[in-house]
Amino acid sequence: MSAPFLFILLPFLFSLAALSVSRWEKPLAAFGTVLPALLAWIAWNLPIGSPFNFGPWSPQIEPVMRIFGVGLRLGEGSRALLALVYGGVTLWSLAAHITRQEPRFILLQLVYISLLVGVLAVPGLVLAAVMILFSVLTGVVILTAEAPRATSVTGALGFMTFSTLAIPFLMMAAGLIPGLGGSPAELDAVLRPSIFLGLGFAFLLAVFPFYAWLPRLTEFNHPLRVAFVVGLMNIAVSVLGIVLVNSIVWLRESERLFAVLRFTGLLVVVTAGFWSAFQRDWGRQMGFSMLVENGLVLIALGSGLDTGIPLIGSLLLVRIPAYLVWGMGMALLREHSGSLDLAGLEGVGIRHPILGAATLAGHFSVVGFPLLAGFVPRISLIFTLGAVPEAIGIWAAMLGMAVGGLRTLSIVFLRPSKNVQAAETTGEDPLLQRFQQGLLVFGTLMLLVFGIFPQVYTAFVARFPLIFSQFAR
Amino acid sequence: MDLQPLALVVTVISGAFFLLFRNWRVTLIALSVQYLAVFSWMMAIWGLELAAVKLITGWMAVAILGATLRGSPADVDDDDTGILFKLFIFIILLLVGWSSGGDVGDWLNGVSEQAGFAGIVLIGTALLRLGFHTRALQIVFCLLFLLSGFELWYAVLDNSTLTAVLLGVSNLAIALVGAFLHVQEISGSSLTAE
Repeated sequence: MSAPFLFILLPFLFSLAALSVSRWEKPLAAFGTVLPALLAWIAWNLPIGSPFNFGPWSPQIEPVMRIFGVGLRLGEGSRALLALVYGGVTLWSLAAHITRQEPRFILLQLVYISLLVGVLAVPGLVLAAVMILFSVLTGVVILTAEAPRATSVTGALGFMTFSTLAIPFLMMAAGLIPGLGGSPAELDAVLRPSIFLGLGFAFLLAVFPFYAWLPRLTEFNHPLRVAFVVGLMNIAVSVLGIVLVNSIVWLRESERLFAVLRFTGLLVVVTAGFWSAFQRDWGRQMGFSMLVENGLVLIALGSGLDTGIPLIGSLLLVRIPAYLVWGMGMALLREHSGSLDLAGLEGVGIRHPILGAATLAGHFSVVGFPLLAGFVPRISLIFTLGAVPEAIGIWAAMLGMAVGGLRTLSIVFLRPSKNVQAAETTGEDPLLQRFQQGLLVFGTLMLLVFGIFPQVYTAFVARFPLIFSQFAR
Repeated sequence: MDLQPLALVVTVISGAFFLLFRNWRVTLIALSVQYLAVFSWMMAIWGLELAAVKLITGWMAVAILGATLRGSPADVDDDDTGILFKLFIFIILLLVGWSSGGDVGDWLNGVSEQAGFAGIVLIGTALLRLGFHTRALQIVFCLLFLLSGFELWYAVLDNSTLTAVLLGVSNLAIALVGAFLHVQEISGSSLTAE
């Protein structure tokens, strides 16, 4: 058995088959939650490319698989990333079950994640770009497949449009890159693919000024779905970007590229952090926070590959529990209040204290609040950068997001509720409520553990740079 | 026989109809004709077999969108921009294409001046129309038009069968998702109205 079959084809084919069967939707969706958990366990514990002991046998997971003449490769170095994404999918599937999402969502999640893993497994940027497009289209279906709402289509259209615009730029960059070396005589020719690559990644990562669609998406669409689709897409695109920078000599050795990355990241972080302070919709605050996260990754990458890559590893890791708790909490709050407009959330934390507190914990972790998971990677990045404008920009963005978060806190917890009646008439199953509270508490504890004892994820951060030794393009 | 001048004329006409007229039937016809023009451009670079992939998948995408719209009760037109304004910006676009078609060849080695011009017309009209609309299917029309323009240029950089097939499948996938979004949009609007 090969790793690409196990981590790409198996979940992809299983979920496609399950989606086409309408009868045993719920049991299949339940298995769709167990499968990514199993894959995450395999990725973390079993080696790829070398034999391991399994009773009397010594099987081996092969790193390469050929399909339609294309060699898909997932080697030993990809294990940390695979464990991260499949672990994340498991948690999201659990959250989907207990927030009563339809079983199709869980199965579509598997299609989406297998396509995103495919982005990193295929050889060459052209195939990666096409895989990104297929992932985006699956993501659009996930975002809009909840109960029909015209606004959810409006939100998803921005994601679809801007991500699709990125694909031709990436493909043209790929078309121009072969044959380019790093010699000074060819430096003029290097400019063109660099611009195409830059535009492609700017569209995908919602870099300033192409980012208005993201807050709109988080405002109009289901928070749990948005957090899943955009969160994992950003992880895959960030990893693809750093793999490219690492594997193309003239990109890796270009001082100008790193300066551009730092400047672009600073622009995104400062503008998004600033606007975050003025949002009256909690969903839009999440959108601006996602933008700040993307900006932080750009700044970390711009600080240099050796220092930046472990920082990016920790930034990406702590994102998963934070957005899970925040997204799930907001999904439940939206059910209770009808929208995420702050005016409609007055006193909701008093009526649902665990829900309100956990959702705010997710929010404040993304802000970078001390003792929560997001704090350590942010503070490490700031110390790595030293007293440069980027560090000041990160402080400013954290301040902007904190202002937005504190305003939300004051509305959710401190103002008296105007709508007590509505909250009590939801008539939810008490057992389901216990499960919801249980997962929220578990997620919040994860945020606290990651924040207070960051050494628990040192093993992951140590393994993360190995990704680049294996994804040579 | 050199089909490029004829293909350029067809591209410009389809671009004009695509930008100027709001009716979805005209849009679908412009999209189909544009695929024919792109097919003739690509035939010169990729050969008949691979270029046919683009034509067939493009027309299949048009068929999917046409079938979706035919069964749809709602109007998908959300653009009230004046035709004279659109004509004016289309003329400006033609001037830009005429003057910059050769520059595309400088940037992407191997793209002829005429193909550069045609690509600018396709991409430009798609981007302009994208700015006039907010409805799902209209946006999908624009994305398909835009991708054709890029594919016209990209054909000279990569002539592998796999890429041609994947690009064709991408067009089909965009059309399918567009049809799905249209249905969701219509259902959502009718629920809101109720």
